[in-house]
Amino acid sequence: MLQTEQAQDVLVVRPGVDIVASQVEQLKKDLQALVAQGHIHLVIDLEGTSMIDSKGLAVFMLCHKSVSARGGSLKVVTANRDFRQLFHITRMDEHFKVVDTL
Amino acid sequence: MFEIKQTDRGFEIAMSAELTNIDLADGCMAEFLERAGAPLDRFAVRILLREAVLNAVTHGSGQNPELTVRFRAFLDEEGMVMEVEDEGPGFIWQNRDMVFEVCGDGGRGLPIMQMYSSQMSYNDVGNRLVIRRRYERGCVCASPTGRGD
Repeated sequence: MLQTEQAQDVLVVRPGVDIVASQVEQLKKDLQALVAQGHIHLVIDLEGTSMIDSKGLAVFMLCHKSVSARGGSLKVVTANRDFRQLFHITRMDEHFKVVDTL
Repeated sequence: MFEIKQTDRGFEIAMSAELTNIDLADGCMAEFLERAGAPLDRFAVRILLREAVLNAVTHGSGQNPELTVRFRAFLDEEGMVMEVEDEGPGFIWQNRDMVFEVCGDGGRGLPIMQMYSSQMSYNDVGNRLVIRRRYERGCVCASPTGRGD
């Protein structure tokens, strides 16, 4: 289950699991539910996540498109160099911000 | 089904085509890399394994648990070699565009493999992939055992 924390108009979400093929369906549903509830400014904090794959990246892009379409934004927080490189080489960081700290 | 066999310089896995088996295979690789202590980019090796096996499980096998995906990894003088084979019909990999389709929901697996691998090649049919990831900083290990000894 996602951990969430409201900080003014932003909802910080901590999946706390690897964002990989075996996990993404549940994560996708959880994020879609949050957006449907009106949380359109999302921060996904990757603390507790040790691996991301291409299916996981697709969830980030889906979430970005979903909140952007409603006038919101997505930001990803991770200090993990491997993750930051992955977001960079797949050009995901051209679509949403990837930052070191909250 | 998930069966692992240690080999001289690595390990082999025979697994049913299920997503959770990718996690198990990745766990085996993480343990192997820890034991071997080889100068490899561990994240690169692990994401290569994940993307290669993911393709075999989903596209090659349609996540049919009756089908088997075979994975083999070993160290040689130049680095890590990984081989993935599925029982599916293969695909026309020659026509695949390696440009990232960043706005779509899929299509990133092959480009990620291309970015993180030193070399990758499919057989003609497209159901057997060989990936090589070289040791970091040009390190050459004369006798890699993969056993950390």
